Amino acid sequence: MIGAVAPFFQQYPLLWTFVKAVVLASFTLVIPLAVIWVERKVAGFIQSRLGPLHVGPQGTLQTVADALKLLLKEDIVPAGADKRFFYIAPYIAFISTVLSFMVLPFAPGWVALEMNVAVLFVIGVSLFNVVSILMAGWSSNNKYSLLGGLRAVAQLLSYEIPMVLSVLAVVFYTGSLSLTGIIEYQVKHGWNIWHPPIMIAALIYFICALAEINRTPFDLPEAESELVSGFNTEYSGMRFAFFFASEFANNFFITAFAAALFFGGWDGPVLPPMVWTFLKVFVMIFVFMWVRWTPPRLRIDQILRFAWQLLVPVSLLNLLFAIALGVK
Amino acid sequence: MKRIATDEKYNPLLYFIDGLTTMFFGMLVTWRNLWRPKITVRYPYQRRPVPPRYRGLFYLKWNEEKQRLNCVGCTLCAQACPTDVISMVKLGKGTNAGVSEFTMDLGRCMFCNLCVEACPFDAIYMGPIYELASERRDAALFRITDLAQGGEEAVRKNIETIQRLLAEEEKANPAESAHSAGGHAS
Repeated sequence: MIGAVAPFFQQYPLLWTFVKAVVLASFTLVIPLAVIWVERKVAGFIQSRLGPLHVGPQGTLQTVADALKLLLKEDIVPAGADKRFFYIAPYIAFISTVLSFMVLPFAPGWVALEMNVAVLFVIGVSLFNVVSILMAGWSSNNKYSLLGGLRAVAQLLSYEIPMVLSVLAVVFYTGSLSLTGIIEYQVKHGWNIWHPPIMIAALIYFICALAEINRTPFDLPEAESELVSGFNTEYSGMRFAFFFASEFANNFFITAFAAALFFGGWDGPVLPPMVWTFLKVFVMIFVFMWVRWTPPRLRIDQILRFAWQLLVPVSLLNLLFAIALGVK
Repeated sequence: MKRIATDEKYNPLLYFIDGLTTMFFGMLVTWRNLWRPKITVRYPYQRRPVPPRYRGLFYLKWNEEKQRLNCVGCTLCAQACPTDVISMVKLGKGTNAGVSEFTMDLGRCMFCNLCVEACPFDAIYMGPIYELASERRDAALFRITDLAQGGEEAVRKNIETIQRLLAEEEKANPAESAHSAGGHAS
């Protein structure tokens, strides 16, 4: 498909960029619909329920209906809000997610922008998410939102460090900062996950990923039961939808990133590469959801202590381990 | 395994290993739950069986042997009712009396069962029908034709039977009938 269309568009580089941007942005808006449906189904099944059933076969169109409902809802801005920041926060969250997708290879050749420092780019861009959450929480002029925003910043910055260190272990091991390069290395030499230092790195990454996308047991920034859903309490309608979409698209992205780093990206027998990418991503998303319904939420001091006292030192040692074994 | 819960003895690594093991067993529990049969009843399409003593819509019992409703119009149920749901029109007097009208305003009813307990003639019961919600207030008003077992047909036969019985009674013993009526009045 891409082979048939690409040559025509490539005569016009600006148009081609535009097409890719539109495709990525719509992908970032559409993939959360699938992820949220899976989330609700898994949640239902674990709780001996059936999940959404009525809209579409097995309730597959339920999330589409929900999205349409959010589009039509009133856009409420609190009277005391700092309007400029309140308005742009959801878009910053969404743009940071779209930008992360930009360098993600789905299959050989299926990457919007082939970047030789993709890993660095992803880490840099994903931090904008923290900025948007703080902006949203602070500008809402609501104590719960502010608490949620501050908690989010404390948590996300703490977990960014061990996460980056565990990603660095992979980078040193494969000798490449490009996601395509890392996957191609794994196609040649076998998946990274089978090597001891990367195994530890993958475990640390998994824990940090849970914290990065604010999922249980690290869902403090949007703890429904204590913060009334935290930084996005005051948001409604389309702006809330953008936060929601960005959160679940991030969920997709962080697992796709893990698939590329640890599980060989598109690499796999028989099935086409694209299918393998999505298979790995959805298996990991399922594990995330499975974890969500198992442990209770942690306290903020427990979360930060865990990050700084255990994850950071262990990931540092692990990085040394990976460098010792990996660098040729 | 020993729980490491106190902060004085806090050791991040032991704490982490402890957390991982408990996490493992927790995940095992949720995994088993994932495959357990679902308890959801998809209500409009599926229904749970109604328990035999369910307190649903009332019905007035039809007596096939006597070809009439059991109700004699004694108003014991209406007197037992705390929310004044029941009103009725009595038909005739004495042992053969019955009702020609029996109206229940279920908008006021709290389904407490007191009327059923009060009834000495096995006339009023609570049935298995529970879908009583409506968009109109007057739909909560149930007349005798809605409440009687057998519907309009039964109500018609009930009135016929009672009028026949009353007429027979009058014919057999006109004086006593008149006397007892007078006695009641005084």
